[in-house]
Amino acid sequence: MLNEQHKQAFLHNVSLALGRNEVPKSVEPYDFTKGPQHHVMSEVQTDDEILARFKVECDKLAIQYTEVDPSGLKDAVIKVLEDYGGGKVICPDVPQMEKYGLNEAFAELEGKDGLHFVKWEPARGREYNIDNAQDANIGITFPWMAIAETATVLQESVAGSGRSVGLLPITHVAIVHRSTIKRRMGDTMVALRKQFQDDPANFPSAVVHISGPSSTADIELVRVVGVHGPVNVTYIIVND
Amino acid sequence: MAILYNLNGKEQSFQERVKDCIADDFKHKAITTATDVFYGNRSARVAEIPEWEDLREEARRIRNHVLDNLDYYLAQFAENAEKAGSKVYFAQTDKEAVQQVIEIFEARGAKKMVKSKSMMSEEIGINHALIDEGVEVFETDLAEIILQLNNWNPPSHIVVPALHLERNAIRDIFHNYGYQGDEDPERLTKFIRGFIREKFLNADVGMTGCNFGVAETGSCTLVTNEGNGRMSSSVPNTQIVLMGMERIVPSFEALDVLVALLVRSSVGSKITSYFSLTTGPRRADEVDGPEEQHIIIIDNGRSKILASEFRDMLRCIRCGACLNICPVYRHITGHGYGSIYPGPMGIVLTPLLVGYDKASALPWASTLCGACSDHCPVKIPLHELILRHRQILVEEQGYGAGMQNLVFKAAGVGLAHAGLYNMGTKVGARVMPLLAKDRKSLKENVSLPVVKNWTQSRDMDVLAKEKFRDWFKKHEAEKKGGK
Repeated sequence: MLNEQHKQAFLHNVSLALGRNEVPKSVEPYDFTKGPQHHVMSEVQTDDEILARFKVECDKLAIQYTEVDPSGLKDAVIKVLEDYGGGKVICPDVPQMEKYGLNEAFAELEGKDGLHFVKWEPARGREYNIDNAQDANIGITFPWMAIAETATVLQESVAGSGRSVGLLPITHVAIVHRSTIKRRMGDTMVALRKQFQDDPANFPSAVVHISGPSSTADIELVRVVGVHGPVNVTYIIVND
Repeated sequence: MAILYNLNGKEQSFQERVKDCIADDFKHKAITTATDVFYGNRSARVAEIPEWEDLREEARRIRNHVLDNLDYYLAQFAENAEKAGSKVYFAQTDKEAVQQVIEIFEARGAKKMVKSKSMMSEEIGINHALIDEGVEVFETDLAEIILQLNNWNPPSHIVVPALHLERNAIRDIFHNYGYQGDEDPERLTKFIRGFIREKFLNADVGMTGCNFGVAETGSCTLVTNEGNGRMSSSVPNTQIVLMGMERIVPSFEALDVLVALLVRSSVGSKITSYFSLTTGPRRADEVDGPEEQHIIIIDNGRSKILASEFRDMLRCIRCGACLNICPVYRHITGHGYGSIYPGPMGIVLTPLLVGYDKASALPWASTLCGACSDHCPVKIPLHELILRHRQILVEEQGYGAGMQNLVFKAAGVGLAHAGLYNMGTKVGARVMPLLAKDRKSLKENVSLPVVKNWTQSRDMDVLAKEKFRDWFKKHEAEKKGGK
């Protein structure tokens, strides 16, 4: 209750600073539908233009990508795992793994050429899963959405795909569905807002926008990748 | 650290500090290069967006809308963050905020903390308060860990805090902690990756700042390149968020405009590697992410600013563009200011937070050229606010009396009297070259009263032998003669 008093005193102080005695019950909402942000990148409109722009921006950030049809996804993933040195791979426990036949394919590959697959398994607790992600070479995720303007993917955390999966391994492989690529952050923000308004209780606890590998320029402004997060980020774009 | 600091434990006046900074060649050159690079990259990004000026105006409006309704949005933010499962606290002062953090540590039995970059954590001096309580504290931003391992050296830039240290110095610092390699930035960074990864995995608490708090959802956001913010909010079991009370935006949509401006203005990129939105702690069925998320909303002088003629300053989104464009920052470097908030934004903010008596010299560290205001992504009239500080200092705080008045009086007499002025400028033209080593300009430590203070931090060109008026008369005569 002490905290409630602190809150009231704090807010009252802010109200006084604004020349009023109490916090208003409502305010005129800000209209975000008319701003100049809606004119930015207006030359990009069709799905093809959006995809083309996404790829151009990937190139600028040195993000590798491949583009495949759903039927070719399994082989594309296996190739990417080989390209990035195989080893221990942590996979999410999400429906797409089954849908694209990845569970079956990984079970077949287990143990071959040093490949070792582990699943993110909430039932086995925090330490087990973080430890698995920590010493994995590759982490696979299925982002929620993507942004063409900045070659960004939006990764939400869910029970079957924890925050660590795309963060702790050396390489992050993100499988991006073409239909989820939006033009700009303005478009993804509208979608996030709608999601929250429709079902606030199930809004993800974390949504991370990822645009390339972890990087720093803190030593004499020399760019170095892989400070805390992944050293490599690669996208597989599925033409869904 | 609090807002103001001394370098190497030396109690120094503003002039003494500036003199030391200018004498440090590496620091001086590093800041010059960095500001050039940042400015060049920023300009390239701005040129890509024809709507840039309109976006600045939109951002100014959004930020003003929030400030004008800040009590409402803070209440809304707190309510929604609590609905999402976060614990929200309100601290009027730095001391209250520190006390709140310590109580959370005690309640959780926490002993180890990792912290990602947060100016608010510097402002309230949380690191040393926790160390005094026996907590093991580790910075995780590469620059900040360098500063920490270098005996908690103060930051010299709000975006790249260790800019003043060269790679050889960083190598030597790391040698004390088991690094055996050379000064290659890639190897130095790799060493820290291993060093800090272990701290992340063992930390009880992850502390982060908050770039923007979203009122409609109670979400906290973090903009980072290194991923340490993402680590701090993913791995430790408890997260503490320190948030200045003005960091609020109404809804997710505002982030589109503000992040676009922030990142481009700050580092000259379109986007950073990471931009995280967290809403509450981890859900019941999730196993990583914090079990508890504590958000401490801090006033520490901001409500006073809100009520004052300096309200515009609270629009600031901490991008550092005003530092990178400022001719004075470039010259005296971040450490010259002696405040964790340097450059034009720091000149405006520091006296408001610590009082004029402790920061009376800062408002004079500006040429009032206005480049800061022109580059500010949220259109804060920085140079006008700096000028207003000067007016208040002189008119209300009694600064600038004494010697300065005498000098101005003397100058007034000299300038008003044609004979004296003519004599003065003629004598000056002959005497100044004798004092100038290169015969062109007066540099450091010319032993002439009044001029000495000026030339400590600037070069003063010697007066030309021929006065403009004389040249002009001659020129007119020649022109007539030529006709």
